[in-house]
Amino acid sequence: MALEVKLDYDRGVPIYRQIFEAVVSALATGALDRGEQLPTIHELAARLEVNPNTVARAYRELEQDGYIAGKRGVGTFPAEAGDAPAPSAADRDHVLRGIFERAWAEAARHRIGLSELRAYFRKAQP
Amino acid sequence: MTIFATTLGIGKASLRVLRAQPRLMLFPALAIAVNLTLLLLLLPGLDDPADGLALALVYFLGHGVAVFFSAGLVSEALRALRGDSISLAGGLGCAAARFRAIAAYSIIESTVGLVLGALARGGRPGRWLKMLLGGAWSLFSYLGLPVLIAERRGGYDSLRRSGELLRQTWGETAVSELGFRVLLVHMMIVLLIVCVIIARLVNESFALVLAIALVLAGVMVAATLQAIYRAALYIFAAEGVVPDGFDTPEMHAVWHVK
Repeated sequence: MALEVKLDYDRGVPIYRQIFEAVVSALATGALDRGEQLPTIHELAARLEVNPNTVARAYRELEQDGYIAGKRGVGTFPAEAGDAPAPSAADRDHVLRGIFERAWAEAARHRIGLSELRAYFRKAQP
Repeated sequence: MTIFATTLGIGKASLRVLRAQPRLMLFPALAIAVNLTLLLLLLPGLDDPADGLALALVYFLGHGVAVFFSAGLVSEALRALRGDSISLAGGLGCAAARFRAIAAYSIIESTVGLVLGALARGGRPGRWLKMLLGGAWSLFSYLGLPVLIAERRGGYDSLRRSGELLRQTWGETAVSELGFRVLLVHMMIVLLIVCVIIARLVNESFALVLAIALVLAGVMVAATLQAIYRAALYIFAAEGVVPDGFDTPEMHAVWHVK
């Protein structure tokens, strides 16, 4: 599945940080497979119409935090499962939002309401 | 950092981008040419040159032309800072695609300009008020055009967002605006000195023609440098990074890069 990044200029969060959060969220929700190559800096910058330095900073911080790893001459990939850290406290809210949004969208597609979804979450709690 | 060092840093960084992409200067050149043509066509046709409404319409139209070409310039400055190739057609196409937003933006700016002008006619307190409000307005709207182009917002929304970005970077914007004004004053002083020397050495009419040509060239260079600088400051404020060309110790100090 391709990495999906939705920029929200009204959030008051710098764009490089939104890209960072989108990748963390995609990794946490499985939207980005472990073996899947991330778009190159220039591809993603062109797609989002942002400065390449913005994507480069997001990738640099993702690499520093151990979420992704660059393979020389090949590209950038999600870090190996064992190496990838759990999202930091600052990113947890964004990751949870991503999980919820996907669940909510899928439920809405099947005409399942919020109360039903909530009841199921409660019932299915391990 | 002193204001002189700030000014030098801003000027050098913007000039670096302009030297790599000199075609950016075509936008202010066209804006001047179109506005001069409009003036030559419209002013002789006015029944009464002192007719306030007609003059206001000419003013709104002229400002609209300037904003349209500035929007094209900012769009290509943003592309240049991304390392993409630029073109006159690309910038004009981008501005044409955002025509309604640009028209709304221009009407708001022109109206504010008229109100400020009216204030200035109210004696000394009016002039002080104009200076105060005019300064605040130029800071508030500083990033309006880059927002309009990069975030595809409407005219009013672009100005609102520019004000929001100002809250995050008011210090950087204020220092930059002041630095740019100092830069422009220095440029004009140099031009004036050149003209005076030529008037002494050659003759006065030649110096006058040269002065007009130099002032027009100075305005074009200044407008281009400022558009490049605004595009760079927008990238810093909205995206959180310093674009290439501005990644210097001087600019890091001006923008307080963390």
